[in-house]
Amino acid sequence: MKSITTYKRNWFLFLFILLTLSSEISAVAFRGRLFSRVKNQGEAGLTVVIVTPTSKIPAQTDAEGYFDAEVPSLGNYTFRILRTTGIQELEKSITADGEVVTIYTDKTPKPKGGIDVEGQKDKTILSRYKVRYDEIKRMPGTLGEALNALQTLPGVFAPPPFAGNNGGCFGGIVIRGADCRTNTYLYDDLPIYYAYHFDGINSVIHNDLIKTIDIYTGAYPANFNNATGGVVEIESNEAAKKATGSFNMSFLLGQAMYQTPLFNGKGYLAAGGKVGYLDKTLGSTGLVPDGIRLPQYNSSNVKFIYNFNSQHQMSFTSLTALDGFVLKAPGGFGSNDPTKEPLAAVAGASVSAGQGYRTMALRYTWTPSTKFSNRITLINYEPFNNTNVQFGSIQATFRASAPYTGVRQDLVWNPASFLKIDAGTEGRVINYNITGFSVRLKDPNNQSPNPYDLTNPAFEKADITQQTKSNYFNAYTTFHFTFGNFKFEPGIRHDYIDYGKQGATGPRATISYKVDGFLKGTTFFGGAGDYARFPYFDQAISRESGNPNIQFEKARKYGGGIDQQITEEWSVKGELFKQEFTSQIVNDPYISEAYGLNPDKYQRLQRPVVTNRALNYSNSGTGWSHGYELYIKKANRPNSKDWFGWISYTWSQSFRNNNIYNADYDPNKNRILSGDEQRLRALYPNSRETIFDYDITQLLSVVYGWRLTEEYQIGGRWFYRTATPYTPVIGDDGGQFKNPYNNQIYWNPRYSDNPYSNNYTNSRRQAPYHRFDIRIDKFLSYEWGYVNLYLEIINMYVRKNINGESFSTTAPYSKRNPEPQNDFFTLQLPNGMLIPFFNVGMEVRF
Amino acid sequence: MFFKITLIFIFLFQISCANKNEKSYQDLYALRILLETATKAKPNPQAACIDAMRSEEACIATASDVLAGTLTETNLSLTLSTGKFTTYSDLCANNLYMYPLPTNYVTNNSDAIRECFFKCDSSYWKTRKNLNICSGTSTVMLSGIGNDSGTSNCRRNCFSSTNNTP
Repeated sequence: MKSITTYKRNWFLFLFILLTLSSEISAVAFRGRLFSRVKNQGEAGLTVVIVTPTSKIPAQTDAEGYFDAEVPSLGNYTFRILRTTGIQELEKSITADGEVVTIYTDKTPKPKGGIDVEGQKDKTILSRYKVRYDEIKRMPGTLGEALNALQTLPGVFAPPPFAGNNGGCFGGIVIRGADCRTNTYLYDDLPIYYAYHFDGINSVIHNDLIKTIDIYTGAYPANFNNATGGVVEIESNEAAKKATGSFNMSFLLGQAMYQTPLFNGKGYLAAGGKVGYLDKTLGSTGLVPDGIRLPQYNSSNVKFIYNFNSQHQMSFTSLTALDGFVLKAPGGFGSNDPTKEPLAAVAGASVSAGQGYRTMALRYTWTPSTKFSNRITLINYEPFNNTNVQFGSIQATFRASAPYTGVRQDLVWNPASFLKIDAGTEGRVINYNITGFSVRLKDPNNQSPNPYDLTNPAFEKADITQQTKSNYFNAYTTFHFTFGNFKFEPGIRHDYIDYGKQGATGPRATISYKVDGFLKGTTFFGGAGDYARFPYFDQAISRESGNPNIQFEKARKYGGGIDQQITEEWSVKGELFKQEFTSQIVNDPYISEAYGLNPDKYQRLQRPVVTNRALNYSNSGTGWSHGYELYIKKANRPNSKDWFGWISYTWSQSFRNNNIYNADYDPNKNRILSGDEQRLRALYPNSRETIFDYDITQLLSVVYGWRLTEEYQIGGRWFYRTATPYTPVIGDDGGQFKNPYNNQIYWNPRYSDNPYSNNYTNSRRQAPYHRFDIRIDKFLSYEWGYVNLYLEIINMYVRKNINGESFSTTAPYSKRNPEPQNDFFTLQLPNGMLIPFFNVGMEVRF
Repeated sequence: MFFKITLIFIFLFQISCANKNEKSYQDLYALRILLETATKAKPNPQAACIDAMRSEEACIATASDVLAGTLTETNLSLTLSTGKFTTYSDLCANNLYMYPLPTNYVTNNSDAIRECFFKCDSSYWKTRKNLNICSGTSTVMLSGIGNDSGTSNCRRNCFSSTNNTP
């Protein structure tokens, strides 16, 4: 009996050992690593608990963040990380026995040399894209400029220089069919007068000091202002682990940067600068005609931060930029042959233009708890420009500046788990100073003003001297309600300027709802708002030659769409939008006030008062744009050699109407009316909508990047867009006038005045613009840092893209005049062979 | 007349309301123009033309190269119409004037602009008369219309929609 009992006991023991052994045999061993993307290192000394259906398996990370553990089988597990600040739970799959699994503990990937752009979901999902500088640093076709990468995002493109009827848009971007001059650029919430230097390629911000760039293409939050287009928000670095620097040289410019922690990590100092030397490189090749001094520029960014403790922080920021350009075309060339003299058409003309700005800010941030933060910023900002132009009857000489000193306050408060409140106020004292004379087109409908017609000049000189002091105030608030997957964010903003005693109130709201269950989640979102912009630095508001009653330009924006996360790497975002522009400032030859001082100062003694004093500008303009966008993205895993890329597509339309009297639409336009009758007639504007200067129907960008090895990276970008519209030249004036400097006949172009013809304003487009760019990077790593050599080839398949048409005023209209105007991304060798534009450079990082 | 007065009161009321409601400067401008239009008499180029002719006659009658008492409406009308008309009324109605007018002058120019131009000429002659400078030769005085800065300014004011000098 005993033996039987012993036998049974042994049998159970055998089964138990067998089961235990089989359990051991079927277990999956793996090595895990907790890795912080922010710190860019493994997380040491943490306890990790792996939660299985039947047990909780503890493990401890070593100095490199590694730990070893076993789980019962392959599959998805919850990793519970025990920290002194609380418990963090993350999910990760174990897919193979012996696998090394990296578990990322935060969400700030920084792949060295990677390229990536992603929609940011932490803030508003509507019409907003976030670009991290370190991710787009090596994007092809950008000539190394982070801001240029914005053009690969939906709804954003840079129009060709001089495109449009208002002198072009140097260095500007068009966002969803809005005027490129109506965007706002901010650097750490501080104003920047312009984003690009005169060459239109290089930005005024040093690349290595940019942390992220947010672009708001549609209904943007209430804390931003003064934009009926979009908002570009650049955020700079706020800390450095160690002292680093970089030096970068290319054909176009040199730039240097240095940043360092100070006071045992409590402080941070960063300084960067750029110097453009195109006048020294390209200017010394002899390819530039005599009389032109290519743009000279420089810019600097300095930032200092000191953290007294976790609650109090002070920072100081200084931003400067200065640009200059000179053209002095000699008069009387001698040969009188325009084919041999590149500046014959503008002989005797002299242009010197300069612009710049200085922004200084002292900021105090108080963060008493994680639920409240307040920021007070003292800002001193001075944008200025100098213009000296003499070209036939076009004569303008003025210096303008609009400095202001202001204080703004911004707070963020989380009073409840479902509510966050942003609120802020600002007050400014603005000095608008302008000295000199400007030039204005007498008839805004005149498409071909002749600068050499001195008998009946198309331009008039206007004294715009003015010194005005004004106050400006604003206040805003936004409520962020979150109820589970549902978000509702109403906000309101009011801007008031006592120059003209007027204000603008802009309510706005966004709404979003995330549905879990389909793939990795679907988010529906929508929003709308009223937006305003005041032209602080514009002749239009001049009391001397403009309209001091000018009101805010306004826009109403709507948008909505779906964001579908397909996998962790793939996502698709689609959005519909509409924008209605009202109260747009236009040149208005009829608007006037009943009486006033004679605007012609030379006549003031004789005739001091005039009736119907011209105001020259009004808020009559209207317009709209609408369209849809699609953004398909494949992200790469940080530190991986996986490929990444995206496709962005935009379809849009944009129209404008000046809403003033236009003789082209008047069947009785030849009948001469009295001034009274003209004023009455102008009350009933007959102008009609025309396609906007920067309307493009289709915009497509394809971006691809691949980190081949530790030493090499390649990237490619192809983009396609419909050409911007233009008004074709249909003839000339018969050469009625001559340039007095060289007696060269000036053939003034003639445009259609028949609004029903296919030659009328903005009725034509050139062939679509498309090109393919690549960039190859080679990294040479050293103990002290690395050297990055790069070659960028733009327009690989050497397409002769056309920006518009160019009419030479030194020759009559013919089949070869005008001729298509190509962009400069195709180079022609002396033997006639075409090669793509290229850029080589070197970055040294230590 | 009653209609006009009513219209003026309506406009004045609107301007007053517009000021109270801080309407835009563009609305105020439109109301002002409508009010000005409503208060202006209907242009009468025929009457202005006759007045200009009479003003000219009054001045030229005392010119050094014109015999006293020889310049009358009949004589001047006959001269300018090469014997067709005897009154300024007929002369003006047939697009004839103290100097040749362009063809299609009536169809190409509104009543208001023609009236305004005639008034400028009338003003020229009346000013000369008032200043007692009508004793020169008639040819010089006639050509003076084209050279006189006051008349040029007056004409510019006629067709200029802004910056009119009083």
